[in-house]
Amino acid sequence: MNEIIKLKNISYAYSNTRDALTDINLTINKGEDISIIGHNGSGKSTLAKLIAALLKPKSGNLYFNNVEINNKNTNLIRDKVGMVFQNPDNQFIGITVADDIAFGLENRRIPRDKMSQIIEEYSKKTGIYELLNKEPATLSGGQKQRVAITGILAMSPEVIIFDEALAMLDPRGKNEILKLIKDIKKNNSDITIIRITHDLDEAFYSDRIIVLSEGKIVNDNTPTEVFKEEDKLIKLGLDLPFIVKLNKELLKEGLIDKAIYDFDLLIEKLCK
Amino acid sequence: MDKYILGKYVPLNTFIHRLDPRMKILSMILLMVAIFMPFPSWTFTFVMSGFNALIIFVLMLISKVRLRDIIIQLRSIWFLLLVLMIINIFLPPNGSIHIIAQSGNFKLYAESFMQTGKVMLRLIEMFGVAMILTATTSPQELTFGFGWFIKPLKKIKFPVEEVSMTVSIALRFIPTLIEETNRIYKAQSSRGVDFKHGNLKMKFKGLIALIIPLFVSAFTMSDDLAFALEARGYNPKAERTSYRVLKWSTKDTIWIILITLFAAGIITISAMHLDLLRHFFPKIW
Repeated sequence: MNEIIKLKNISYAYSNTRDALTDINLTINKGEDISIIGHNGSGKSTLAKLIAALLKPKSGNLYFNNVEINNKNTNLIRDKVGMVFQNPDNQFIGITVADDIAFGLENRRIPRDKMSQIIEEYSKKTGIYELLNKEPATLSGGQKQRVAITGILAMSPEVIIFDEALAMLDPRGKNEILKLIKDIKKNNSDITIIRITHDLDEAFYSDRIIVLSEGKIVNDNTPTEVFKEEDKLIKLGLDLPFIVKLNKELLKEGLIDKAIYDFDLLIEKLCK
Repeated sequence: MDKYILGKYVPLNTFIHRLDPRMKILSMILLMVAIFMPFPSWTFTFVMSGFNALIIFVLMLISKVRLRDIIIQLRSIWFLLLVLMIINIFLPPNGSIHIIAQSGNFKLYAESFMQTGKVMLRLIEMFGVAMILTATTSPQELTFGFGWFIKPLKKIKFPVEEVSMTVSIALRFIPTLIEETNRIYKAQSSRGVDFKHGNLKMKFKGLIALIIPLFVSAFTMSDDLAFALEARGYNPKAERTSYRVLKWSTKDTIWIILITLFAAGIITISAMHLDLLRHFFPKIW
Protein backbone atom coordinates (compact mmCIF):
# COMPACT_ATOMS: atom_id res chain seq x y z
CA MET A 1 0.00 0.00 0.00
CA ASN A 2 1.11 3.54 -0.73
CA GLU A 3 1.36 5.90 2.15
CA ILE A 4 -0.45 9.17 1.54
CA ILE A 5 0.00 11.03 4.80
CA LYS A 6 2.85 10.69 7.23
CA LEU A 7 3.34 12.53 10.48
CA LYS A 8 6.80 12.37 11.96
CA ASN A 9 7.42 13.40 15.58
CA ILE A 10 4.75 16.07 15.40
CA SER A 11 4.02 18.19 18.47
CA TYR A 12 1.64 21.07 18.82
CA ALA A 13 0.81 23.54 21.57
CA TYR A 14 -1.91 26.21 21.70
CA SER A 15 -0.05 28.03 24.44
CA ASN A 16 3.22 27.58 26.23
CA THR A 17 1.74 25.75 29.18
CA ARG A 18 0.98 22.32 27.82
CA ASP A 19 1.32 20.45 24.55
CA ALA A 20 -1.96 19.62 22.88
CA LEU A 21 -0.18 16.90 20.95
CA THR A 22 3.16 15.31 21.79
CA ASP A 23 5.41 13.43 19.44
CA ILE A 24 2.83 11.99 17.09
CA ASN A 25 4.02 9.42 14.58
CA LEU A 26 1.37 8.25 12.20
CA THR A 27 1.25 6.85 8.70
CA ILE A 28 -1.99 6.76 6.76
CA ASN A 29 -2.20 4.70 3.61
CA LYS A 30 -4.02 5.50 0.40
CA GLY A 31 -7.59 4.26 0.41
CA GLU A 32 -7.76 3.63 4.14
CA ASP A 33 -10.86 4.38 6.19
CA ILE A 34 -9.50 5.39 9.53
CA SER A 35 -11.06 6.71 12.72
CA ILE A 36 -9.35 8.83 15.31
CA ILE A 37 -11.12 8.55 18.65
CA GLY A 38 -10.57 10.03 22.07
CA HIS A 39 -12.41 11.89 24.78
CA ASN A 40 -12.90 15.67 24.71
CA GLY A 41 -9.61 17.50 24.85
CA SER A 42 -7.57 14.50 23.78
CA GLY A 43 -6.29 16.49 20.83
CA LYS A 44 -8.12 14.71 18.05
CA SER A 45 -9.46 17.85 16.38
CA THR A 46 -6.03 19.43 16.61
CA LEU A 47 -4.59 16.37 14.94
CA ALA A 48 -7.11 16.69 12.11
CA LYS A 49 -6.21 20.33 11.56
CA LEU A 50 -2.52 19.45 11.53
CA ILE A 51 -3.12 16.77 8.90
CA ALA A 52 -5.00 19.32 6.80
CA ALA A 53 -2.13 21.78 7.33
CA LEU A 54 -4.53 24.29 8.88
CA LEU A 55 -2.27 24.47 11.89
CA LYS A 56 1.48 24.58 11.80
CA PRO A 57 3.16 22.03 14.08
CA LYS A 58 5.50 23.26 16.80
CA SER A 59 7.96 20.60 15.77
CA GLY A 60 8.02 17.57 13.51
CA ASN A 61 7.31 17.01 9.84
CA LEU A 62 4.24 16.37 7.77
CA TYR A 63 4.51 14.47 4.49
CA PHE A 64 1.83 14.28 1.84
CA ASN A 65 2.42 11.80 -0.98
CA ASN A 66 6.03 11.65 0.20
CA VAL A 67 6.53 15.40 -0.16
CA GLU A 68 7.38 17.34 2.96
CA ILE A 69 4.86 20.10 3.57
CA ASN A 70 6.19 23.52 4.52
CA ASN A 71 4.91 27.10 4.35
CA LYS A 72 5.32 27.30 0.62
CA ASN A 73 3.58 24.18 -0.57
CA THR A 74 0.49 23.94 1.62
CA ASN A 75 -1.49 24.20 -1.60
CA LEU A 76 -0.52 20.57 -2.29
CA ILE A 77 -2.63 19.66 0.72
CA ARG A 78 -5.36 22.23 0.02
CA ASP A 79 -5.96 20.77 -3.40
CA LYS A 80 -6.16 17.19 -2.30
CA VAL A 81 -7.42 17.16 1.29
CA GLY A 82 -10.99 18.20 2.02
CA MET A 83 -12.34 18.76 5.48
CA VAL A 84 -15.90 18.63 6.79
CA PHE A 85 -16.24 20.45 10.11
CA GLN A 86 -18.51 19.87 13.04
CA ASN A 87 -20.77 22.89 12.85
CA PRO A 88 -22.86 22.76 9.66
CA ASP A 89 -23.58 26.50 9.78
CA ASN A 90 -20.12 27.88 10.36
CA GLN A 91 -18.64 26.27 7.28
CA PHE A 92 -21.40 27.31 4.91
CA ILE A 93 -19.83 30.13 2.94
CA GLY A 94 -22.07 30.69 -0.07
CA ILE A 95 -25.38 32.54 0.01
CA THR A 96 -27.01 29.57 -1.71
CA VAL A 97 -26.14 25.88 -1.97
CA ALA A 98 -24.77 26.32 -5.51
CA ASP A 99 -22.61 29.26 -4.41
CA ASP A 100 -21.22 27.23 -1.55
CA ILE A 101 -20.26 24.32 -3.76
CA ALA A 102 -18.75 26.80 -6.20
CA PHE A 103 -16.57 28.43 -3.54
CA GLY A 104 -13.76 25.89 -3.65
CA LEU A 105 -13.91 25.78 -7.44
CA GLU A 106 -13.66 29.57 -7.66
CA ASN A 107 -10.55 29.41 -5.50
CA ARG A 108 -9.06 26.96 -7.97
CA ARG A 109 -9.86 29.27 -10.88
CA ILE A 110 -12.13 26.79 -12.67
CA PRO A 111 -13.83 28.53 -15.61
CA ARG A 112 -17.49 29.28 -15.12
CA ASP A 113 -18.95 26.87 -17.70
CA LYS A 114 -17.05 23.99 -16.26
CA MET A 115 -18.06 25.03 -12.75
CA SER A 116 -21.80 24.75 -13.49
CA GLN A 117 -21.16 21.36 -15.04
CA ILE A 118 -19.24 20.12 -11.99
CA ILE A 119 -21.84 21.50 -9.58
CA GLU A 120 -24.62 19.77 -11.47
CA GLU A 121 -22.77 16.48 -11.63
CA TYR A 122 -21.81 16.28 -7.97
CA SER A 123 -25.04 17.68 -6.56
CA LYS A 124 -26.87 14.91 -8.39
CA LYS A 125 -24.49 12.36 -6.93
CA THR A 126 -25.10 13.50 -3.36
CA GLY A 127 -28.81 14.06 -3.88
CA ILE A 128 -28.94 17.82 -3.37
CA TYR A 129 -29.61 18.87 -6.96
CA GLU A 130 -33.09 20.12 -6.03
CA LEU A 131 -31.62 22.28 -3.27
CA LEU A 132 -29.10 24.20 -5.40
CA ASN A 133 -30.94 27.52 -5.15
CA LYS A 134 -31.81 27.23 -1.47
CA GLU A 135 -30.35 29.36 1.27
CA PRO A 136 -28.65 27.71 4.25
CA ALA A 137 -31.30 28.96 6.72
CA THR A 138 -33.88 26.75 5.00
CA LEU A 139 -31.79 23.56 5.17
CA SER A 140 -31.53 20.90 7.87
CA GLY A 141 -28.21 20.10 9.51
CA GLY A 142 -27.90 16.89 7.51
CA GLN A 143 -28.53 18.74 4.27
CA LYS A 144 -25.93 21.36 5.15
CA GLN A 145 -23.33 18.68 5.82
CA ARG A 146 -24.30 17.09 2.53
CA VAL A 147 -23.60 20.43 0.84
CA ALA A 148 -20.22 20.63 2.59
CA ILE A 149 -19.36 17.13 1.39
CA THR A 150 -20.48 17.96 -2.15
CA GLY A 151 -18.28 21.05 -2.14
CA ILE A 152 -15.34 18.85 -1.24
CA LEU A 153 -16.14 16.05 -3.68
CA ALA A 154 -16.38 18.64 -6.45
CA MET A 155 -12.68 19.26 -5.99
CA SER A 156 -11.92 15.54 -6.47
CA PRO A 157 -9.90 15.12 -3.27
CA GLU A 158 -7.66 12.22 -2.32
CA VAL A 159 -8.39 12.55 1.38
CA ILE A 160 -11.55 13.64 3.18
CA ILE A 161 -11.38 14.43 6.88
CA PHE A 162 -14.63 14.39 8.83
CA ASP A 163 -13.95 16.41 11.95
CA GLU A 164 -16.86 15.39 14.20
CA ALA A 165 -19.04 15.98 11.17
CA LEU A 166 -21.93 13.98 12.61
CA ALA A 167 -21.82 15.32 16.15
CA MET A 168 -24.38 18.08 15.66
CA LEU A 169 -26.83 16.09 13.55
CA ASP A 170 -30.04 14.36 14.55
CA PRO A 171 -30.13 10.55 14.17
CA ARG A 172 -31.69 10.77 10.76
CA GLY A 173 -29.15 13.23 9.43
CA LYS A 174 -26.42 11.13 10.98
CA ASN A 175 -27.54 7.99 9.17
CA GLU A 176 -27.88 9.86 5.90
CA ILE A 177 -24.33 11.16 6.11
CA LEU A 178 -22.94 7.79 7.21
CA LYS A 179 -24.55 6.24 4.17
CA LEU A 180 -23.19 8.98 1.95
CA ILE A 181 -19.65 8.38 3.24
CA LYS A 182 -20.11 4.68 2.56
CA ASP A 183 -21.23 5.44 -1.00
CA ILE A 184 -18.27 7.75 -1.59
CA LYS A 185 -15.95 4.97 -0.51
CA LYS A 186 -17.77 2.44 -2.65
CA ASN A 187 -17.55 4.60 -5.77
CA ASN A 188 -13.90 5.44 -5.27
CA SER A 189 -11.89 2.93 -3.28
CA ASP A 190 -8.76 5.08 -3.65
CA ILE A 191 -10.19 7.85 -1.53
CA THR A 192 -8.83 8.05 2.00
CA ILE A 193 -11.35 8.74 4.76
CA ILE A 194 -10.28 10.08 8.14
CA ARG A 195 -13.02 10.31 10.74
CA ILE A 196 -12.46 12.29 13.90
CA THR A 197 -15.21 11.11 16.16
CA HIS A 198 -16.34 10.16 19.61
CA ASP A 199 -19.16 8.10 18.18
CA LEU A 200 -17.77 4.62 18.65
CA ASP A 201 -20.48 3.03 16.54
CA GLU A 202 -19.21 5.09 13.63
CA ALA A 203 -15.58 4.28 14.38
CA PHE A 204 -16.30 0.57 14.56
CA TYR A 205 -16.95 0.34 10.83
CA SER A 206 -13.65 1.87 9.73
CA ASP A 207 -10.58 -0.19 8.83
CA ARG A 208 -8.40 1.14 11.57
CA ILE A 209 -8.80 3.00 14.83
CA ILE A 210 -6.35 5.37 16.45
CA VAL A 211 -6.98 6.12 20.10
CA LEU A 212 -5.75 9.44 21.40
CA SER A 213 -5.39 10.42 25.00
CA GLU A 214 -3.74 13.48 26.49
CA GLY A 215 -2.23 14.33 23.13
CA LYS A 216 -0.61 10.96 22.59
CA ILE A 217 -1.49 7.95 20.47
CA VAL A 218 -2.25 5.16 22.92
CA ASN A 219 -3.58 2.57 20.52
CA ASP A 220 -3.48 2.01 16.78
CA ASN A 221 -5.16 -1.16 15.59
CA THR A 222 -8.16 -2.72 13.87
CA PRO A 223 -11.56 -2.04 15.50
CA THR A 224 -12.00 -5.60 16.79
CA GLU A 225 -8.61 -5.50 18.46
CA VAL A 226 -9.12 -2.01 19.91
CA PHE A 227 -12.48 -2.90 21.39
CA LYS A 228 -11.15 -6.09 22.94
CA GLU A 229 -9.41 -4.03 25.55
CA GLU A 230 -12.53 -2.77 27.23
CA ASP A 231 -10.96 -1.79 30.54
CA LYS A 232 -8.38 0.34 28.83
CA LEU A 233 -11.06 2.20 26.87
CA ILE A 234 -13.18 2.83 29.91
CA LYS A 235 -10.16 4.21 31.71
CA LEU A 236 -9.77 6.68 28.85
CA GLY A 237 -13.36 7.83 29.23
CA LEU A 238 -14.52 5.88 26.21
CA ASP A 239 -17.00 3.07 25.92
CA LEU A 240 -17.71 0.11 23.64
CA PRO A 241 -19.83 0.39 20.52
CA PHE A 242 -23.34 -0.98 20.80
CA ILE A 243 -22.68 -3.92 18.49
CA VAL A 244 -19.65 -5.00 20.50
CA LYS A 245 -21.58 -4.79 23.77
CA LEU A 246 -24.44 -6.76 22.24
CA ASN A 247 -22.13 -9.48 21.01
CA LYS A 248 -20.47 -9.70 24.41
CA GLU A 249 -23.79 -10.20 26.16
CA LEU A 250 -24.95 -12.73 23.60
CA LEU A 251 -21.72 -14.69 23.95
CA LYS A 252 -22.09 -14.62 27.72
CA GLU A 253 -25.60 -15.97 27.46
CA GLY A 254 -24.41 -18.61 25.03
CA LEU A 255 -26.83 -17.49 22.31
CA ILE A 256 -24.05 -17.27 19.72
CA ASP A 257 -20.75 -19.09 19.65
CA LYS A 258 -18.79 -16.48 17.73
CA ALA A 259 -18.99 -12.69 17.64
CA ILE A 260 -20.83 -11.33 14.58
CA TYR A 261 -20.32 -7.63 13.94
CA ASP A 262 -22.79 -7.23 11.12
CA PHE A 263 -26.31 -6.35 12.29
CA ASP A 264 -28.09 -8.14 9.46
CA LEU A 265 -26.06 -11.31 9.83
CA LEU A 266 -26.50 -11.21 13.58
CA ILE A 267 -30.26 -10.89 13.31
CA GLU A 268 -30.33 -13.71 10.80
CA LYS A 269 -28.30 -15.92 13.10
CA LEU A 270 -30.50 -15.15 16.10
CA CYS A 271 -33.70 -15.81 14.20
CA LYS A 272 -32.60 -19.23 13.09
CA MET B 1 -38.72 40.22 11.20
CA ASP B 2 -41.70 42.04 9.73
CA LYS B 3 -40.45 45.24 11.26
CA TYR B 4 -37.52 45.40 8.89
CA ILE B 5 -39.42 45.71 5.67
CA LEU B 6 -37.13 48.36 4.26
CA GLY B 7 -34.30 46.50 2.65
CA LYS B 8 -35.98 43.14 2.78
CA TYR B 9 -35.68 41.04 -0.34
CA VAL B 10 -38.91 39.53 -1.61
CA PRO B 11 -38.02 36.50 -3.71
CA LEU B 12 -40.51 36.81 -6.54
CA ASN B 13 -39.89 36.55 -10.22
CA THR B 14 -41.24 39.79 -11.64
CA PHE B 15 -39.85 41.60 -14.63
CA ILE B 16 -37.88 43.96 -12.38
CA HIS B 17 -36.45 41.06 -10.38
CA ARG B 18 -34.84 39.74 -13.51
CA LEU B 19 -33.09 42.98 -14.45
CA ASP B 20 -29.38 43.46 -13.94
CA PRO B 21 -28.56 44.77 -10.43
CA ARG B 22 -26.16 47.35 -11.88
CA MET B 23 -28.93 48.82 -13.96
CA LYS B 24 -31.22 48.87 -10.94
CA ILE B 25 -28.65 50.64 -8.78
CA LEU B 26 -28.06 53.24 -11.49
CA SER B 27 -31.80 53.73 -11.98
CA MET B 28 -32.26 54.24 -8.27
CA ILE B 29 -29.65 56.99 -8.23
CA LEU B 30 -31.22 58.66 -11.27
CA LEU B 31 -34.71 58.50 -9.81
CA MET B 32 -33.51 59.90 -6.49
CA VAL B 33 -31.93 62.85 -8.28
CA ALA B 34 -35.18 63.40 -10.16
CA ILE B 35 -37.16 63.31 -6.91
CA PHE B 36 -35.02 66.00 -5.30
CA MET B 37 -35.07 68.48 -8.19
CA PRO B 38 -36.37 71.95 -7.19
CA PHE B 39 -39.00 73.82 -9.19
CA PRO B 40 -39.92 77.52 -9.21
CA SER B 41 -43.53 77.46 -7.98
CA TRP B 42 -45.37 75.45 -5.36
CA THR B 43 -48.04 74.22 -7.72
CA PHE B 44 -45.50 73.11 -10.24
CA THR B 45 -43.44 71.42 -7.53
CA PHE B 46 -46.43 69.37 -6.44
CA VAL B 47 -47.41 68.55 -10.01
CA MET B 48 -43.90 67.28 -10.74
CA SER B 49 -43.79 65.40 -7.46
CA GLY B 50 -47.07 63.78 -8.38
CA PHE B 51 -45.62 62.89 -11.76
CA ASN B 52 -42.62 61.24 -10.07
CA ALA B 53 -44.96 59.45 -7.69
CA LEU B 54 -46.95 58.12 -10.62
CA ILE B 55 -43.86 56.66 -12.29
CA ILE B 56 -42.69 55.14 -8.99
CA PHE B 57 -46.17 53.76 -8.38
CA VAL B 58 -46.13 52.05 -11.77
CA LEU B 59 -42.71 50.55 -10.95
CA MET B 60 -44.10 49.39 -7.61
CA LEU B 61 -47.01 47.71 -9.34
CA ILE B 62 -44.65 45.86 -11.69
CA SER B 63 -42.33 44.77 -8.87
CA LYS B 64 -45.25 43.96 -6.52
CA VAL B 65 -44.03 46.24 -3.73
CA ARG B 66 -47.03 47.21 -1.63
CA LEU B 67 -47.82 50.84 -0.81
CA ARG B 68 -48.76 49.71 2.69
CA ASP B 69 -45.19 48.58 3.38
CA ILE B 70 -43.92 52.03 2.50
CA ILE B 71 -46.47 53.74 4.73
CA ILE B 72 -45.32 51.45 7.56
CA GLN B 73 -41.80 52.75 7.04
CA LEU B 74 -43.07 56.28 7.55
CA ARG B 75 -44.04 55.37 11.10
CA SER B 76 -40.39 55.55 11.98
CA ILE B 77 -40.01 59.09 10.69
CA TRP B 78 -43.29 60.77 11.64
CA PHE B 79 -41.54 62.39 14.57
CA LEU B 80 -38.95 63.83 12.23
CA LEU B 81 -41.71 65.23 10.05
CA LEU B 82 -43.36 66.78 13.10
CA VAL B 83 -40.13 68.51 14.08
CA LEU B 84 -39.73 69.65 10.50
CA MET B 85 -43.23 71.10 10.52
CA ILE B 86 -42.57 73.03 13.75
CA ILE B 87 -39.33 74.39 12.35
CA ASN B 88 -41.12 75.40 9.17
CA ILE B 89 -43.86 77.14 11.12
CA PHE B 90 -41.46 79.22 13.19
CA LEU B 91 -38.91 79.73 10.44
CA PRO B 92 -41.07 79.98 7.31
CA PRO B 93 -39.36 79.19 4.00
CA ASN B 94 -37.96 82.10 2.01
CA GLY B 95 -40.50 84.08 0.07
CA SER B 96 -43.51 83.04 2.13
CA ILE B 97 -46.37 85.38 1.39
CA HIS B 98 -49.65 83.56 2.06
CA ILE B 99 -50.64 84.34 5.61
CA ILE B 100 -53.27 82.01 7.04
CA ALA B 101 -53.49 83.39 10.54
CA GLN B 102 -51.86 86.15 12.53
CA SER B 103 -51.49 86.72 16.22
CA GLY B 104 -49.48 89.74 17.25
CA ASN B 105 -46.10 89.53 15.68
CA PHE B 106 -46.45 85.86 14.75
CA LYS B 107 -47.61 85.01 11.26
CA LEU B 108 -48.68 81.53 10.17
CA TYR B 109 -47.80 80.98 6.52
CA ALA B 110 -49.37 78.46 4.14
CA GLU B 111 -45.89 77.85 2.76
CA SER B 112 -44.82 76.24 6.03
CA PHE B 113 -47.27 73.43 5.47
CA MET B 114 -46.50 73.17 1.79
CA GLN B 115 -42.81 72.84 2.56
CA THR B 116 -43.50 70.03 5.03
CA GLY B 117 -45.80 68.36 2.53
CA LYS B 118 -43.13 68.60 -0.14
CA VAL B 119 -40.51 66.97 2.07
CA MET B 120 -42.94 64.26 3.10
CA LEU B 121 -43.80 63.46 -0.51
CA ARG B 122 -40.14 63.30 -1.40
CA LEU B 123 -39.43 60.97 1.50
CA ILE B 124 -42.27 58.65 0.53
CA GLU B 125 -40.99 58.59 -3.02
CA MET B 126 -37.45 57.97 -1.85
CA PHE B 127 -38.59 55.07 0.33
CA GLY B 128 -40.53 53.75 -2.62
CA VAL B 129 -37.50 53.77 -4.89
CA ALA B 130 -35.24 52.21 -2.27
CA MET B 131 -37.78 49.52 -1.55
CA ILE B 132 -38.23 48.65 -5.19
CA LEU B 133 -34.48 48.13 -5.39
CA THR B 134 -34.09 46.04 -2.24
CA ALA B 135 -37.29 44.03 -2.70
CA THR B 136 -36.35 42.98 -6.20
CA THR B 137 -32.60 42.52 -5.78
CA SER B 138 -31.15 39.90 -3.45
CA PRO B 139 -28.38 41.10 -1.10
CA GLN B 140 -25.97 38.92 -3.03
CA GLU B 141 -26.87 40.60 -6.31
CA LEU B 142 -26.61 44.01 -4.67
CA THR B 143 -23.13 43.19 -3.41
CA PHE B 144 -22.19 42.05 -6.87
CA GLY B 145 -23.64 45.17 -8.42
CA PHE B 146 -21.84 47.51 -6.03
CA GLY B 147 -18.70 45.41 -6.42
CA TRP B 148 -18.83 46.10 -10.12
CA PHE B 149 -19.16 49.84 -9.56
CA ILE B 150 -16.18 49.99 -7.23
CA LYS B 151 -13.99 47.85 -9.50
CA PRO B 152 -12.11 50.87 -10.89
CA LEU B 153 -10.85 51.50 -7.33
CA LYS B 154 -8.59 48.49 -7.80
CA LYS B 155 -6.29 50.82 -9.70
CA ILE B 156 -5.60 52.74 -6.50
CA LYS B 157 -5.01 49.41 -4.71
CA PHE B 158 -8.37 49.34 -2.98
CA PRO B 159 -9.09 45.66 -2.07
CA VAL B 160 -12.30 45.41 -4.11
CA GLU B 161 -12.55 41.59 -4.11
CA GLU B 162 -11.80 41.24 -0.42
CA VAL B 163 -14.42 43.83 0.44
CA SER B 164 -17.01 42.14 -1.78
CA MET B 165 -16.18 38.78 -0.19
CA THR B 166 -16.41 40.20 3.33
CA VAL B 167 -19.74 41.85 2.61
CA SER B 168 -21.19 38.73 1.07
CA ILE B 169 -20.05 36.56 3.99
CA ALA B 170 -21.50 39.11 6.41
CA LEU B 171 -24.81 38.93 4.55
CA ARG B 172 -24.69 35.16 4.60
CA PHE B 173 -24.25 35.12 8.39
CA ILE B 174 -27.01 37.57 9.30
CA PRO B 175 -29.72 34.86 9.50
CA THR B 176 -27.35 32.56 11.41
CA LEU B 177 -26.64 35.30 13.94
CA ILE B 178 -30.33 36.11 14.32
CA GLU B 179 -30.98 32.43 14.99
CA GLU B 180 -28.16 32.40 17.52
CA THR B 181 -29.57 35.51 19.20
CA ASN B 182 -32.95 33.86 19.54
CA ARG B 183 -31.35 30.77 21.00
CA ILE B 184 -29.39 32.75 23.59
CA TYR B 185 -32.49 34.84 24.34
CA LYS B 186 -34.46 31.69 25.12
CA ALA B 187 -31.61 30.12 27.10
CA GLN B 188 -31.17 33.23 29.23
CA SER B 189 -34.93 33.65 29.70
CA SER B 190 -35.13 30.09 30.97
CA ARG B 191 -32.49 30.98 33.52
CA GLY B 192 -34.53 33.85 34.78
CA VAL B 193 -33.25 36.84 32.85
CA ASP B 194 -36.20 39.12 32.28
CA PHE B 195 -35.90 40.98 29.00
CA LYS B 196 -39.39 42.42 28.88
CA HIS B 197 -40.19 43.86 32.29
CA GLY B 198 -38.52 46.09 34.81
CA ASN B 199 -36.88 49.47 34.56
CA LEU B 200 -34.23 50.65 32.18
CA LYS B 201 -31.39 49.44 34.37
CA MET B 202 -32.79 45.92 34.54
CA LYS B 203 -33.40 45.87 30.82
CA PHE B 204 -29.84 46.95 30.25
CA LYS B 205 -28.65 44.11 32.48
CA GLY B 206 -30.72 41.71 30.41
CA LEU B 207 -29.16 43.10 27.28
CA ILE B 208 -25.70 42.36 28.61
CA ALA B 209 -26.76 38.78 29.31
CA LEU B 210 -27.66 38.60 25.63
CA ILE B 211 -24.77 40.45 24.06
CA ILE B 212 -21.84 38.79 25.81
CA PRO B 213 -22.74 35.19 24.88
CA LEU B 214 -23.57 36.44 21.40
CA PHE B 215 -20.10 37.90 21.04
CA VAL B 216 -18.49 34.73 22.33
CA SER B 217 -20.44 32.67 19.85
CA ALA B 218 -19.69 35.09 17.02
CA PHE B 219 -15.99 34.70 17.71
CA THR B 220 -16.25 30.91 17.70
CA MET B 221 -18.15 31.20 14.47
CA SER B 222 -15.53 33.37 12.82
CA ASP B 223 -12.79 31.03 14.02
CA ASP B 224 -14.56 28.06 12.44
CA LEU B 225 -15.23 30.09 9.33
CA ALA B 226 -11.58 31.05 9.00
CA PHE B 227 -10.59 27.38 9.06
CA ALA B 228 -13.32 26.50 6.58
CA LEU B 229 -12.20 29.25 4.20
CA GLU B 230 -8.61 28.15 4.41
CA ALA B 231 -9.40 24.45 4.09
CA ARG B 232 -11.19 25.18 0.85
CA GLY B 233 -8.23 26.97 -0.59
CA TYR B 234 -9.29 30.58 -0.21
CA ASN B 235 -6.45 33.00 -0.67
CA PRO B 236 -7.47 36.65 -0.60
CA LYS B 237 -4.41 37.67 -2.57
CA ALA B 238 -4.93 35.18 -5.37
CA GLU B 239 -7.00 35.58 -8.49
CA ARG B 240 -10.36 33.75 -8.39
CA THR B 241 -12.97 32.93 -10.96
CA SER B 242 -16.60 33.72 -10.28
CA TYR B 243 -19.59 31.42 -10.41
CA ARG B 244 -22.05 34.27 -10.39
CA VAL B 245 -21.82 36.50 -13.38
CA LEU B 246 -23.77 39.63 -14.11
CA LYS B 247 -25.52 39.52 -17.44
CA TRP B 248 -26.40 42.81 -19.04
CA SER B 249 -29.12 42.25 -21.62
CA THR B 250 -30.96 44.36 -24.16
CA LYS B 251 -33.86 44.93 -21.81
CA ASP B 252 -31.47 46.45 -19.30
CA THR B 253 -30.21 48.83 -21.96
CA ILE B 254 -33.78 49.79 -22.90
CA TRP B 255 -34.70 50.40 -19.28
CA ILE B 256 -31.66 52.45 -18.46
CA ILE B 257 -32.31 54.60 -21.53
CA LEU B 258 -35.94 55.14 -20.50
CA ILE B 259 -35.03 56.02 -16.92
CA THR B 260 -32.19 58.27 -18.04
CA LEU B 261 -34.54 60.10 -20.43
CA PHE B 262 -37.07 60.53 -17.65
CA ALA B 263 -34.51 61.83 -15.16
CA ALA B 264 -32.85 64.02 -17.79
CA GLY B 265 -36.26 65.48 -18.65
CA ILE B 266 -36.98 66.38 -15.05
CA ILE B 267 -33.50 67.81 -14.53
CA THR B 268 -33.78 69.91 -17.69
CA ILE B 269 -37.17 71.29 -16.69
CA SER B 270 -35.78 72.12 -13.28
CA ALA B 271 -32.65 73.72 -14.72
CA MET B 272 -34.73 75.93 -17.02
CA HIS B 273 -36.18 77.64 -13.93
CA LEU B 274 -39.37 77.92 -15.87
CA ASP B 275 -42.82 77.43 -14.48
CA LEU B 276 -44.15 75.38 -17.36
CA LEU B 277 -47.67 75.39 -16.00
CA ARG B 278 -47.87 79.16 -16.08
CA HIS B 279 -46.15 79.13 -19.44
CA PHE B 280 -48.60 76.81 -21.12
CA PHE B 281 -51.78 77.49 -19.18
CA PRO B 282 -51.53 81.18 -18.31
CA LYS B 283 -55.32 81.51 -18.05
CA ILE B 284 -55.76 79.04 -15.25
CA TRP B 285 -53.04 80.43 -13.05
